[in-house]
Amino acid sequence: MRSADAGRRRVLIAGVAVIGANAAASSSRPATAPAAEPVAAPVTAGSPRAAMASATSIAPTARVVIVGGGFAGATCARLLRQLAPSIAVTLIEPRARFITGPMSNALIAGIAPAAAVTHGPAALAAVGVEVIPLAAVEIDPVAHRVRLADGRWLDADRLVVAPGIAVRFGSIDGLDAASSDRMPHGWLGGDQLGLLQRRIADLRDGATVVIGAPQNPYRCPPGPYERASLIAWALARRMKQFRIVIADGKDDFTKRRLFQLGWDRLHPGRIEWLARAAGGEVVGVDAASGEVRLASGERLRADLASIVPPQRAADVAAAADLVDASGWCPVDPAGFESTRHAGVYVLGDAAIAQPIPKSAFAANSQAKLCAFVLAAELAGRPRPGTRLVNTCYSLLAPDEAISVSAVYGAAGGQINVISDGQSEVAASAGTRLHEARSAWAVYAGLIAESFGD
Amino acid sequence: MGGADVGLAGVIGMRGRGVRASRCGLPAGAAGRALLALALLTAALALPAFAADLPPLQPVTLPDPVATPRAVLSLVAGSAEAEPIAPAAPTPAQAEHPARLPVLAANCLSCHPKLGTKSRGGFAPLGGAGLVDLSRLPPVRIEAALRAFRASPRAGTVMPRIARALDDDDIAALAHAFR
Repeated sequence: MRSADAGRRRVLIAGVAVIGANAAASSSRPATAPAAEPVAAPVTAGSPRAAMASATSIAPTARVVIVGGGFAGATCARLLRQLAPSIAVTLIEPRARFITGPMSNALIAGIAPAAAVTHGPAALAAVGVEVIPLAAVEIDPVAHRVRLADGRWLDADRLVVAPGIAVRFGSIDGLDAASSDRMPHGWLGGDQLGLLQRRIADLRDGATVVIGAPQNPYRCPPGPYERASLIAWALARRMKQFRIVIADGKDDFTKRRLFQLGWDRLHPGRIEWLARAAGGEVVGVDAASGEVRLASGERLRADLASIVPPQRAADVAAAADLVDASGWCPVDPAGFESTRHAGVYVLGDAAIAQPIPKSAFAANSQAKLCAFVLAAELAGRPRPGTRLVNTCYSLLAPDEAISVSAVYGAAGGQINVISDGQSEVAASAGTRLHEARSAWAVYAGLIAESFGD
Repeated sequence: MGGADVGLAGVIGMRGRGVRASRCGLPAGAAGRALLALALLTAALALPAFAADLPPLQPVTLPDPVATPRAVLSLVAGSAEAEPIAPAAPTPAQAEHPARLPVLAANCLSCHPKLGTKSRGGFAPLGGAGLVDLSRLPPVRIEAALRAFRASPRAGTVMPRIARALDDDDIAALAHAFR
C-alpha cells in the first residue's frame, strides 16, 4: 500500500470494506478504554509452561508468544491452541475488553450500546491461552524475546506481533496528542470514542461537523465515510439544519459511489466530500476554536471536528525493526512471516498486505492462516496453501448497509485477488436492510471466532 | 497437509470422507445435471439457512433458522438429523485435499461459526436470524448452495463474490468440511 500504482489502487478500492476501525490492540499503549478492566484471573502466576502443562497434561513442544490481543492476535492464539494443543500459547494484551473498531461508529451515533461492541481476549484463558494483562514494551526480533511492562522477559520459539496502529502526528499543523482530544478521531478506541459520542449528542441545530480522512494506507478505509453517514442519521433525527464536511487527503475512497448515492438519497445536500485534488486535505487545525484549515485555503469552523490522522504500525513494531521506510511491516503473505526477521510474524493492521484492506475481518483471516502455518511448521509439516478473505459492511443508516468482499491468494510474495465484489448500486431497500442485519450477524460471528466471546 | 487436516478435524470436525452427491440421491449424467441445476435454484431460493445472504426476492416470510432449527432442517433433503452420514470412499479430489482447504474452511467459520448450546448470537438491533451454522447443514446442501452462489451474482449479496473464488474441488471438499 506504500506506493500503490493505479492498478493496485483500483483493486484496493474495489476490494476494500470495513466497519469502523479495527481495534487491534496497541500493546505500546496503556489501557485507556473506558471499558478496560483488569483481567479477572490472570493465568500468569508461576511459569507459563507449568500453566500450559496443567491445562493440557502434556509438556509443551514449543512456545508461541503473541503481542497484541485484538482481532488478529486473539484469533491466532485461539486457533493455534485448537490446532496444536502441544504448543504453549501466550497472549500479551493489557486490556481485558475494549470497544472494537468495527461498529464503533454505531456506538458514537447512539445506535448500539457500549456493551454490544465491547469485547476482548479475556475469555481465551478458558481455551488454554495464557493471557498476560500487561503491555509488551520491547521485542527482540532476533532472540525472539518480549519484555513485559513489569520487566520480565518471555522467550519464544515463534513470535507473533499484532500491535495495531499508531497515529502519525506532524503533517497537520496544530494537531498533536493533546489537541487531538478536542477533535477526537477514536481510531485507537479508548476514551476518544466516548468523547465523540458525547460531542455528537451535544450538537445543536445548524451544527457543522468536519471529518478529516487520511491518505492511504490506514485502518478501516470506509470508517470516515460510515462515520459521516451515521452522524448524519443521528443529527437528522433532531435537527432541521446541519452540515457534514469530509475533508479528504485522497481522491477516492472505498465504496464511494455507494456512499454518495446513499447520502444524496438520505441527506441531500448535507454531506460534502472534498477530495484532495479539490484542496480538501486538512493541513492545520486550531483545536481550541474548532477551526479546520484545508489545503485549498478554506477555513471551516466546526462545532465538532473529528480529524483522523495519518497512520503507521504501532510503536512496539517500529522499535523492533519490523517496519520498513513506509512505517508498516513487510511480510511474506504465504504465512505473514516478517521479511525482516525470521520467526517473527506480523498480523493485522500493522502488516503490509496490499491489496487487502486493514480491517478486523482481514486481521482475523490473516491470523487463521498464520495459525495453520505455525502449527505446520512447528510440527515439521508442509505449509498450507494461502487463502485470505475479507468481508466488510458499512452502515449508511441503522437499517441500511453496503458491503464489499474479496478472496485472495498469494504467489511469489505478492497477494492476488481471486474474486471480489461489492453491493449493487441499484439494490432495493430490502436488500440494504438485509445487509444491515447481516452486518450485525457477521460482527457476532467475527467476535465469536476471534475472542470466543 | 495430513497433519494440518488432523488439526482442522479437531477444530471444525472435518471429515476426510463423506457422502458424495450420488449417495444423496442426486442422479449423475446430463439429465442429472439439468435436475441438479433446478435443484440448485430451488435450494438458493428456498434455503432458509442461507437467508441471511439472500435478497428478498419474493414476499415470503422465511423461517427463522435460529428460532426454528428443526423447521429449517426439515426442509433440507436428507436432513443431517434425520439421516446420519454414511462413510464413503473419498473422491479423488477429496482425497487429494487441496492444501488450501483447511484455511478456506476456517474462513467460512468467521461468519458462520458453530453455534454452541450457549450461543447468544450477538446484538441484533434489527432482529433477524444469525448466519447459518454450517455444521448443521448436510453436505449436499452446502454444495448446492455454493454452486448456486458461484453461478449467479443475484443469488445473494456477499456469498456470490466469495463463491467465485472456489473451484469444483474446493466446493466438493468444503461440503464435507464442517461436520
